[in-house]
Amino acid sequence: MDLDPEEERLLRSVALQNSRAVLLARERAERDLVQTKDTLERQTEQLYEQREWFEVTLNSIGDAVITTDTQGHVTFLNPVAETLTGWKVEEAKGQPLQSVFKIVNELSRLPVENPIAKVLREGVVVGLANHTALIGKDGTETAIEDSAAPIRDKKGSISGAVMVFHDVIEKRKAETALRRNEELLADFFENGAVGLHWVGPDGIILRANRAELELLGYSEKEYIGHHIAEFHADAPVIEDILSKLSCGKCLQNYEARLRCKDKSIKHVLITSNVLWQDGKFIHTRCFTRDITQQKRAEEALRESEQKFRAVFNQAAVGLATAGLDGRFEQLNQRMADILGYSEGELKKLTFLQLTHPLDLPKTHSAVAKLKSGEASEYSLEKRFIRKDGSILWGLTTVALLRDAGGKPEKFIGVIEDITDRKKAEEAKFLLAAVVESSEDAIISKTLDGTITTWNLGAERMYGYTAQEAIGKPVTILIPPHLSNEEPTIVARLKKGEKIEHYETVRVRKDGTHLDVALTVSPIKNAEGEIIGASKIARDITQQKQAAAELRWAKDQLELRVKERTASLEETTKQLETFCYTIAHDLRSPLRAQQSYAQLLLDDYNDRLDPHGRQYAERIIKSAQRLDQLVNDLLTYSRITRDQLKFTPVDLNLVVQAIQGHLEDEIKRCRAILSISPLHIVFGYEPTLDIVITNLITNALKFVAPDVHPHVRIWSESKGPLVRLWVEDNGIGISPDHQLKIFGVFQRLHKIDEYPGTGIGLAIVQKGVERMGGTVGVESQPGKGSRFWIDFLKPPFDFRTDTGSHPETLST
Amino acid sequence: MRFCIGVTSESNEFTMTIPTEPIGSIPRPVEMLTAIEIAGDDAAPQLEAIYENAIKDTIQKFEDTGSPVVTDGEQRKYHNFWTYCVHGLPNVSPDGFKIPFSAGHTRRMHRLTAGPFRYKRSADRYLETALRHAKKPVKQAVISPSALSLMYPADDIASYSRQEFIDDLLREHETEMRRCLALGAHTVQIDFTEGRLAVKLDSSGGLLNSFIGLNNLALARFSDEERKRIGVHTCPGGDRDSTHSADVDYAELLPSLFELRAGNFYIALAIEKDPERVLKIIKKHMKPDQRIFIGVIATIDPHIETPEEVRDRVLQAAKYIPLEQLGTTDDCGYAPFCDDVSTTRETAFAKIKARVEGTQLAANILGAR
Repeated sequence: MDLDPEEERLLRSVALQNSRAVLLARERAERDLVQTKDTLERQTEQLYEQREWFEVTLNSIGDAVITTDTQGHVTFLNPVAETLTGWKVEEAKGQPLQSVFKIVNELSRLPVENPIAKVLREGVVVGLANHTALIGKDGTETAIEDSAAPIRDKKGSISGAVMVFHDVIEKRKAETALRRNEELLADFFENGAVGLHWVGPDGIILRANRAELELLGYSEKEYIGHHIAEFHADAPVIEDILSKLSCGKCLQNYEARLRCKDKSIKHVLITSNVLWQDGKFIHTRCFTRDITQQKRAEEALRESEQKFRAVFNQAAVGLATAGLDGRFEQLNQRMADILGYSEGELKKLTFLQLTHPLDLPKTHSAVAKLKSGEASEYSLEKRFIRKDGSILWGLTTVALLRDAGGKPEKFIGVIEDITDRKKAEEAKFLLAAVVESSEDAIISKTLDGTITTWNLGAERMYGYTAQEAIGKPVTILIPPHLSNEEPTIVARLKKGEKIEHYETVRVRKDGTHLDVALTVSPIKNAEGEIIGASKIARDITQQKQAAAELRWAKDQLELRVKERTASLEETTKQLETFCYTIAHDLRSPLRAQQSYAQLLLDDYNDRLDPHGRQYAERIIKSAQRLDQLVNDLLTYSRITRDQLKFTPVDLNLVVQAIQGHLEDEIKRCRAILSISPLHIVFGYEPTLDIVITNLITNALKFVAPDVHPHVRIWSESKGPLVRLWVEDNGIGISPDHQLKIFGVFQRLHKIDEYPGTGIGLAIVQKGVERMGGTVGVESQPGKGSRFWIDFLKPPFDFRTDTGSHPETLST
Repeated sequence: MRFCIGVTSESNEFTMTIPTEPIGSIPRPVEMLTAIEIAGDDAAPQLEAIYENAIKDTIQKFEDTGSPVVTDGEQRKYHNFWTYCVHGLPNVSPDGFKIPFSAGHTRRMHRLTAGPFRYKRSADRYLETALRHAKKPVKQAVISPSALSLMYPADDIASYSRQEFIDDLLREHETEMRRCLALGAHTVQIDFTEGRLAVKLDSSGGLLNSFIGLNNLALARFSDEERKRIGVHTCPGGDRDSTHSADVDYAELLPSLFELRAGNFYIALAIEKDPERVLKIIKKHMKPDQRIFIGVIATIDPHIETPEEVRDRVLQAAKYIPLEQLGTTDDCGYAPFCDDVSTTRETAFAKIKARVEGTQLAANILGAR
């Protein structure tokens, strides 16, 4: 249906007029747009800068910031707000604030009205209620405070809201701490355990706490308002204190004495300084610490330490402290003495260094237990090596000292020298071992005869076990017929006598008898009283049997020897007689032969041709030699069978006599005899003469051609013997021949070289043997010989035994 | 581009469907109209509960149709889509322009008698109530500045210039729009039914361009992002199963219409005699950032479309409009004037249900799924 024409005209008119107005509005809008665009660009730039500034600011500030639009939807969170709410800005944007910012009353737990809602509603700044807690996204709760405010646009219209809040936990803690500190400070002054007072610049006490008043025994009235000097026992001290404080100095533990109400004196330490305000002395702040007990304790400690030091130093045992490394720190003299080091030397050593290597493992183990706390102390019997290398046995007791915190600090140890005890123990153990292993019966008994110990040897010997024997009377071992032995033995023991090798008879458990040798010794207690006896019994049954058999055998032997000796003596006598007879009987025809040959030369010399004379001379020489031989044999025979009569014989006289007999020979061969003073011997003088003459004759004879004999003679004492030395410078004797030369007819040289019969040294040996002596030689070929003869000394001190030395006496 | 993404219960696969939205009004319950008449004042306090129940019931029924976007059926818009914001103002008189409808009746606009121009109420008030009851996204329709601009009389008002009026009008409109957007409206639809009327009044197109210019001044105040949630509805005007400008060729309207700086266009098409021709015009003049919701339900036709009929209309439109720019809607509100009871509420919801199901059928075929 069409419009009414008039209606349509008006409508068109309105529309067209509107169109013009729209056009104008559009042009204006476009102009505005251009301007707005320029402005916008500028503002955008400014806004960008501002936004940057704000973002940096908001992201940097310590407070949490949340903004919302006018509908209360979140538009921004800064990082702190992200942290406190647990929401990231991306997820929180557009969310209703109450979803992101959930708050409750800390006390009632009821939800709290969201301040943003009120801000948007009323357009005013709203503070959070007290005790507001923010519930984070993860349920964590944070006490917060602060406020919310509207964000207004240029026209003042609310375009959103901003809420600034912060965590007040630390603030609350600080406030609580501050309040608490103030309370504590007031409490500290009034109720502190240390005396505290204030003194004004005029010396008047302004304030004092309870501890101070109680310390000195005054009431507030008696103390406060009075001059501080009234309470000081030492006027110079308080003058000095006030003087120092007035000069701005601080007093630190200044020792003073205060006078109490009861007239007693308190020792105190004063720590004080002055409260100055604008250079003005307001009052002092003096802490008064009572050290009276401390002073007394120090004194007592000093005395205690002195006593301890005395005890420490004079202790009979070694005392020492050592660091945790074992190094000695403090020690007493006894410690130094028993270890053999000086104190200074010990302080450079550790007790482990002194510990015997064999005892180190157990020492380490004990120390480890101390350090671990497993043991509070240990006691060990261990060995130490003294400075001189000897072993010290010490009973060592060591404890670990700990500091107040329980931390190990040092060792303290005691060493008691138990070396003697250990040696005694060792000896005891050794003795016990010996006793137990002995074949002899070793028993001990009391003086009343009760058996107290019984070794295995006793078991074996007597047949009783230790259990059977101990406690029984010792008389169970004594045969009835010897019952009087025990009282006799006991009587001797009581006198302290020791009975050794007492042979007797004892009876076994089975009743058989046995021969025993007893050694009974008294047993003494520590006081030296005889309390019993130890008895060692050796079974000598077999020994006695053997001795009896031996005695019989000996008797038989002696009988047979006697018989044979008699037979031999008879034979020898017969032989000697035979020899003497032969020798004697031979000499007569020899002398006749010699005489007739000499007569032949004397009387028929002219009738004999040279051969005849030579034969006659050879007959004479052979006869002479044979005579000499027979003569020597007679001497040998005589020396063998002569009945010797022993007397003390002065060798000096013997040698002098021989020297006289051989004077011609000595001169002939231009010999030198050096004779020292000689000893007196016990012998038979004729035999001595023969023996020594033979030795000197040999010395003169057996020399190299063109060598003048030099014979030295001396003697020396050798216990019960006297040794006579005859030394020559002769040709010497090889070792191979030195044993042979004492045999009969032993010649080492041709008769043409050294004439002789080969019997001389045999005569020497036989003669010496007959006198109970011995003969020997020391010689080397070409270096001479030294013959020696050991004679018996006279049985009594016939003459001072001076001995002799080979001093030369020229003859 | 706007795609609705959902999940089918059968396949559990993501599906893309063609968006479909209503225009706005649903016939008011007769009881409510009676109560208003008895009260003599649409703002009488005793009507509040009745309004509330009507809104709640309408939204519930809307949601029952399966429509992914609902409205409050404009149950509280009094007296109609055009004058709701100025109804009851002291500086208006009811002797404004008369709009004649093809059914022979007229609707009369308000006339501004004095400045300044202020809205008596704005649509966000209705939206706020609807949001309380809706479980699905809610769309809100507002009247265009160009429609209200006709309130200023031909003779200028002393001490209140036309220019001042235009400024106030734009500010009031912007405020209403922003409040709706801020409350969370799925889309805010500007009812621009006077577009075809302008062509009818001024075949030179000057009036239409004036309207377009005025509306663009308002739209220019919004950001691109905001404009994606703003749409423009044009139709030949529907009231009591009739129109006021169905005789105006779309060819004269659409080229200018697409100059409007809106993201969505709701274009009545079901009622068109040659919809294919209109679609071709649309195709020719639509812009890439514009989604075209074509009318697939003839709201003034008592016949209830079947889903298949709807499907076919969508398939036909899809030949000309890219799928990612295609949407469906009703040609118009079912009762732009509150006292229009020519269509029952049941019919309206049945038609809406057909739109929803038909659109889905087409989507299935088009692979939009």
